[in-house]
Amino acid sequence: MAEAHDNTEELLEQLGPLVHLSKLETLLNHARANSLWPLTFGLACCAIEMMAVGASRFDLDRIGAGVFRPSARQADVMILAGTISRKMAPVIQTLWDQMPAPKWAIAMGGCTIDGGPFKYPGQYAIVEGADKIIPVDVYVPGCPPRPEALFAGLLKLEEKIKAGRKGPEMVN
Amino acid sequence: MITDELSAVPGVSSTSEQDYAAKGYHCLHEASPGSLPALAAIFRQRGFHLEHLTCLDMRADDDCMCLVYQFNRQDVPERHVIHSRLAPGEAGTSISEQFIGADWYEREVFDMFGVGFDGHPNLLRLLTDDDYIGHPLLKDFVDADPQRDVFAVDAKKDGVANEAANE
Amino acid sequence: MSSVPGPAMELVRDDEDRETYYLNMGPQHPSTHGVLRLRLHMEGERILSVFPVIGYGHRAHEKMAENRDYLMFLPNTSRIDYLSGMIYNLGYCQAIEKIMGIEVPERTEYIRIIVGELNRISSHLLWLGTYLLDLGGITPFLYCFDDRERILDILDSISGSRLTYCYGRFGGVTMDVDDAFLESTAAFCSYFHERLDEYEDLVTDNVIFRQRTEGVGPFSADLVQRFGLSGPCLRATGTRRDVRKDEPYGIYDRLDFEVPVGKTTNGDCFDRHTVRMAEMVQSLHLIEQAVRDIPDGPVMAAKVPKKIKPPAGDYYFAVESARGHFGMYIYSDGTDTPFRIKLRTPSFAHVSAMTEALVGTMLSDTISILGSIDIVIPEIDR
Repeated sequence: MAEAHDNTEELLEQLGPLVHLSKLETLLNHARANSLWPLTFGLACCAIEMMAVGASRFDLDRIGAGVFRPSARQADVMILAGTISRKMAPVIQTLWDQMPAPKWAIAMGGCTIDGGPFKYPGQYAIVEGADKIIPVDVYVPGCPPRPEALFAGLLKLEEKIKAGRKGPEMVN
Repeated sequence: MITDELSAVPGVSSTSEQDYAAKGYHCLHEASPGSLPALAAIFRQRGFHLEHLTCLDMRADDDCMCLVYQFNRQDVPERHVIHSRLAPGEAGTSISEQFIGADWYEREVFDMFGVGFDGHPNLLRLLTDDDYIGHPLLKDFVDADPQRDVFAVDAKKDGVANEAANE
Repeated sequence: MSSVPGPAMELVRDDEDRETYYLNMGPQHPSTHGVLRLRLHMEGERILSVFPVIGYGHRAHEKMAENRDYLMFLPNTSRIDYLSGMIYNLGYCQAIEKIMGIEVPERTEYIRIIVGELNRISSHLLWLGTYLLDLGGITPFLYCFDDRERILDILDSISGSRLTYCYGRFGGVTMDVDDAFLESTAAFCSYFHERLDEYEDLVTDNVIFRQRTEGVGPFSADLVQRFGLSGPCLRATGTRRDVRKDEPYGIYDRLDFEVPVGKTTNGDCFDRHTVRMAEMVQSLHLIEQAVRDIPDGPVMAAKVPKKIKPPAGDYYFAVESARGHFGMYIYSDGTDTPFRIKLRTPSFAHVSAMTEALVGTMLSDTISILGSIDIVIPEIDR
């Protein structure tokens, strides 16, 4: 019986909040999806295409995602644009930890999906895939992906957010 | 061409003019590692700059590590390539006093090939982690821990343990 | 100094009893143009010393060159400096052609001039937009990227890529260009001449820009020699040197163009700006000549060896990229796999020069200087 009492708190934690406001959450999810603030985080070549998406021809701002924040504490989505070197991996994790929930990640380009053109047996310098270090929501293939592709990736992420995914931990 | 002045430096064992159209440089010198500072001083005085400094792992064929220095001039192109052969384990001599730009090139050679440089102000690794084990551009380099979990608590210990296992 | 990120700020009292602190800038920072980390030792706003930490973009290009043959290394070349990707890609092709004695058809030489110079203009445009962004001016970024998109459309139509091209092959280029390409290039040139005048009005004559760049970050001839600077950083000091003139490759020796130098011989940020603006004009001039004189003919050499096996020995070949002198030191052991390819990149020397050039400046001037030297980090880390 003592065991059951010890487990109660654990059980409550697992159940999550006991009150759900479904319509309000849907509204909040729509708001989150349409005002994603990306982190300015260019690592290599894909960063240039990310900048091109933010510029005048492709204009990320028309889906509300044009406000790039240099500080991780103010950003919602981390667009990993470029190859992740082993030296950079702890830095990426620090930045990911600094981002407050709800947060999402987009792996842009072949390098962040599985190492891309730099993957070969004996590669010592890179992390072959962003999902080895942080949980990734959307993968955008290409080397580099065309701006239209990154745009499609962001729209896909919006779909995911509207469906209720708030990041790796369900925080309400 | 300052070839004569360079070949007069003690430690320069051979100097040969090259076909610029075929090779891309004008003159090749073979010099001992200790003669590099004197050569660098001449280059500096004559207005040359260090184009690059690298290393070749020739332990399989010639049982040596060959340092490659390349100097060029701004006004009229006159490219000198210097090969400096080191026995495996021997250190080169730093020219960072004459050409401070060599600081980073020498650090890169140390990082990638494990060749030390006497007289270098702070010989740290340049491109890999400070605590990385191994010298990647060596021909027999085997990554001690490929695609490891970079955030494993025991990552450092694993690296050391693997090196011990390889020895 | 550990490269693992430590505390961002540390307050220390140094030997001279000054209250100083260490400020960590990067590797994630909007103004470092990539993953560069600078550990700045500062007193107030002034920088006492700089310790750059690089390697955050190290992708092992040189190791990859040793375990694949010469043709398989070709896609790597445009990823070293992705803003001058076409110039690097064609430069590597030209290096191998020179070593193997492969003669390239005339038409290809003209095509290479056109696409290389278009690439140079697009790189300078990106530099201009991001430089102004660092200084706080957001408008030029949008203008520059719009013009850059026009160039990218043209290059996309023949190579299939916008950024990382693999258009060159040993002995020629992948695809021939058609009349539509030549017409759109000519149209772009006439459009861009007027646009450059707009940029002069918008940026060069802007009083805030002038105050943030004139007299800021002068490079002396001694600094240039000790660190081996090249490209616009060198030309801004008044030294009229360009690989396309000094060691011509392709048909640059047949075309008519000038090498601009800084107006003052300070070598300050404003000089570097004027040099790049003038270089864009010269690139247009080169493109117009090439479009006018391009002959008909094949675009691929008749005899290209199936396996590239350079005779044993070392070779060096250099091109003028948008950033400066890019050289490849190739050591061959006679097989079809390179023994060693050393990539001599301009940004490597430029960032190492920052250890001296930034000392004594204020932090806002540091941003201005770092932007003006036009660096690409993967080129430093390779």
